[in-house]
Amino acid sequence: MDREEVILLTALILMLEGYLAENVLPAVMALFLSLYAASLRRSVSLSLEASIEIPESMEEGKWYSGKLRVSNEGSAVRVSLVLESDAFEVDLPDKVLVPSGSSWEGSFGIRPLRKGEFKLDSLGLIAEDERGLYWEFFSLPPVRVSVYPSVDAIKEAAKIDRNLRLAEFYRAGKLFGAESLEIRDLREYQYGDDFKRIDWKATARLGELIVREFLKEENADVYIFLDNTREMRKGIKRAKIDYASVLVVQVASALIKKYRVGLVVYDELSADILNPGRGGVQLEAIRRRLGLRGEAGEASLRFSFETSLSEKAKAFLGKVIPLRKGRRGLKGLFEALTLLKNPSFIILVTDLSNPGEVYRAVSLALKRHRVLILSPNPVLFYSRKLDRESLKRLYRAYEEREALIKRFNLLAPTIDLGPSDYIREIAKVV
Amino acid sequence: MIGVVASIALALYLRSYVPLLGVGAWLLSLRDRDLGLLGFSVYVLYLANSVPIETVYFYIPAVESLAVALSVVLLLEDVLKRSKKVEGIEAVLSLIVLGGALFPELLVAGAVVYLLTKLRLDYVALSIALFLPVVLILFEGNLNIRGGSSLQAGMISAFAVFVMAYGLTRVNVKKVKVFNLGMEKEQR
Repeated sequence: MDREEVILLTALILMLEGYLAENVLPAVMALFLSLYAASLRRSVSLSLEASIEIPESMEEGKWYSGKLRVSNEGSAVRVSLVLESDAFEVDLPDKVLVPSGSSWEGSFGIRPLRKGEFKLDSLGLIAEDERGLYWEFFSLPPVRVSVYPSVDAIKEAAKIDRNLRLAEFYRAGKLFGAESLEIRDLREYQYGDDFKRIDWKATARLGELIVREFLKEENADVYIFLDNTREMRKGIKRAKIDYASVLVVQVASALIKKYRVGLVVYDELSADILNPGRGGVQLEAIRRRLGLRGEAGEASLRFSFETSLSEKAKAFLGKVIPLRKGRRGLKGLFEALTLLKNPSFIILVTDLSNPGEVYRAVSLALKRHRVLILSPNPVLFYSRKLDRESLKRLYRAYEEREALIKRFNLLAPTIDLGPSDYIREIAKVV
Repeated sequence: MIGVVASIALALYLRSYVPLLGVGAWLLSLRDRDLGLLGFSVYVLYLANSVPIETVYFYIPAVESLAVALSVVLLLEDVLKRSKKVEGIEAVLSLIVLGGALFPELLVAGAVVYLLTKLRLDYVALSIALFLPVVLILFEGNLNIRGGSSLQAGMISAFAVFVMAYGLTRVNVKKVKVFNLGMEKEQR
């Protein structure tokens, strides 16, 4: 029921009361109440001009101040700001009275809850007349905002669980820095050493397995390749790209003190390269490139190398239908690899949703570079309701995924990661 | 606050506690407008029943009915605005309205002036209402009879209904719900 209806209903009951009780007063009161309500309704005029200022670039989890300017061209109103977005928290002022023909300027607090690129198009003002009987919604022009990950969020995430598999690699000192051909030392074989390093002459001489240890070149570049294809961006509650972005910053922050670290963000069509560098400035540059945003959608959970089309069919389709986003290949990844001039160490963060292409790219990369694959497992990121059918589907996907990881491990070290796996070990070892 | 003053003046004039209940409705509105509005409705129905007026064809009952009706409108204005501040002109008119404790004509005059300054009166609705005295005079023989209170109430109610119907013909106005129920959904 509206407030206006309460007044009119009261008037109607008064009319009835007057007639039944043989009393003229209620009818007179009803007449004046009706006159009052009619005058209010026909004279109300809600008309506002407003503008809003919000910082274009914000850090996740931090409060910022926005400005609101309102100009009232109608009746006196009480104004309140409205923002419908689950990605932002807003601390709004209480309803402000803006008299007729006047202006008001004020500020409010806004805090981004997630990182990414956002278009705030649900901003608006609710204007209520000073008697609280009528209201109108005035939408504000949409505002584009970039939110980048906060240092605190990354530090917080780094406290959670260790990745033991990666710890083994780093303990063995296998991965960082390209190795020169100069032998530094001969030592006893340790579990996990590459068989190719066994020095057979020394082994025959000493009667136990001896391996060669090469000098490490610690001035090699490290490139972190981040898969920003559509499958990585999909997620219901949390997209893999969100997790991967945090992972990238953690890895970069651990390596950047000793190595020159660059970033490559690639998708189906192209790649964005940040040249390697050291220090806090480079880390900040990497962090700012990671304002990537997930999108609603369920992961496909397909990990098969094979497709249903033959090579001839694919070639035919390629001529008939031009290349479109996601239709064929990871052009961006191949493009990025060709741009690496010197032998480098590549950390590839991908969910392996396009395994055939990734396999070819990694095989190509291994001719000049060393590669480590960190792969968020889409099965572990599944966040929908679990029922009989979905469990079956997940189990099949998990088996396929295991086979895929084994196959990739033959090529390059591949680590399967879940939502709670973070690389605290890197900081320790490096 | 002028409505509160009018209620007090009316209570003094009528020597009755009932108009003072209007002050309670205004206090309720300070806490919550919708509670105040509901309290006002109950108060008005009770007030109407506690002041019997049999005819508007005599001066004193006519003035008294105008005084009571206008004090109710002023109180509704206060309940809806929920303002504790008294502006310049309102303070002056409040003093005039307070004089209604002795002379109800002062209450009527003060209320009319205040409403003319605060409301943009709709002239069509006003014309309909001002036609009422003409009709009352024309039909005095039929209405001003023994037991004619119901007839007079009916005639006045008919004009009230005309005014109400005219007032409701404006469309494209979003109305605030009582306790804001359903408003957020509509807003989306």
